[in-house]
Amino acid sequence: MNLDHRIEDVLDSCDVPGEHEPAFEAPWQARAFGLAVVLTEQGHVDWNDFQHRFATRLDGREGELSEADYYRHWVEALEETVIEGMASRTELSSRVAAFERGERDASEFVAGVDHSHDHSHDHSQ
Amino acid sequence: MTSGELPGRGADPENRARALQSLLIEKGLLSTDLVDEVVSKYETDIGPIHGKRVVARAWTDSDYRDRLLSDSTATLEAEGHTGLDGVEIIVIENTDHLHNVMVCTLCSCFPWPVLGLPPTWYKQPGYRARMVKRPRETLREDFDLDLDDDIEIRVRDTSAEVRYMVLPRPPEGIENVPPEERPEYVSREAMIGVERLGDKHVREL
Repeated sequence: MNLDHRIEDVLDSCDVPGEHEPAFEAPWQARAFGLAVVLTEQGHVDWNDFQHRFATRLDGREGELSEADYYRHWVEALEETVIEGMASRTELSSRVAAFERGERDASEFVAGVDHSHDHSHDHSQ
Repeated sequence: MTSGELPGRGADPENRARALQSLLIEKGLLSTDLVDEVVSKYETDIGPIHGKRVVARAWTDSDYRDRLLSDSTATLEAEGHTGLDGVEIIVIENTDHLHNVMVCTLCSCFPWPVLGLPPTWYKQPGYRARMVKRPRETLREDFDLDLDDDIEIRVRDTSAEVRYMVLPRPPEGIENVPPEERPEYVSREAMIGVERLGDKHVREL
């Protein structure tokens, strides 16, 4: 049995509202989600710890929570987690600034593009 | 807990997410391929389809159903529906007089490996608060699900460690549906508990 074909068949035939909702509204949400899951699968992040940080950020929220709000809190929980051991606060804020200024963009994630000119391979400092 | 402002505060979330990925790759902690793979899995392969298959099988295979109800996590893992370490999934069955519904009053924990990403309405603070306080009314008003008073409603609060999934009662006529088509009669809503299938006939679904 071809599972992929089967999955598509079933998804196409389901007429339940919400079944065909896109999983993410914007690529950055998918990226945030993917980062959290991969970091957890690789053992760099404890999932319960991440969930608790995320939950704390949602705590006390009133009113409607948009997808964007939801994933923004994910990003915040991720930043909080990352600067506690994987990278420094300065490194991360510099990197964010580089993307904000347009010095870096998503093309660096595309396979085959050479970015070695950006990085110093001298780790003596 | 880290104090102070977050490094990306005020920046566009797109740039914040990209910066995280960029830095983590540089640190050798992950690769873009892995991130893409996870995203693709959750967008396409991991959705309610796994849950639907589990339910459809439980409807007609009583040994499987027993195993599923007595040790859900192990039964699901044996089929490859693993998710995140340390997370338990518990399948709870509806009966003629018992109706289960899931919420997460903390945030939006959800049994991702079998149901995929949670729907937007599930994540709303309003859903959580109302369902816990007034389940019968909420089901009627928000989901058009009117349950008689003789049906007990149990609200299951999902936590980070324990996720619930409802095993709905089968719709009438399911035994006449070819096995490979049965998952089509299961909905994500029924597996969350805001829909009840047992009162319907397959031709209505």
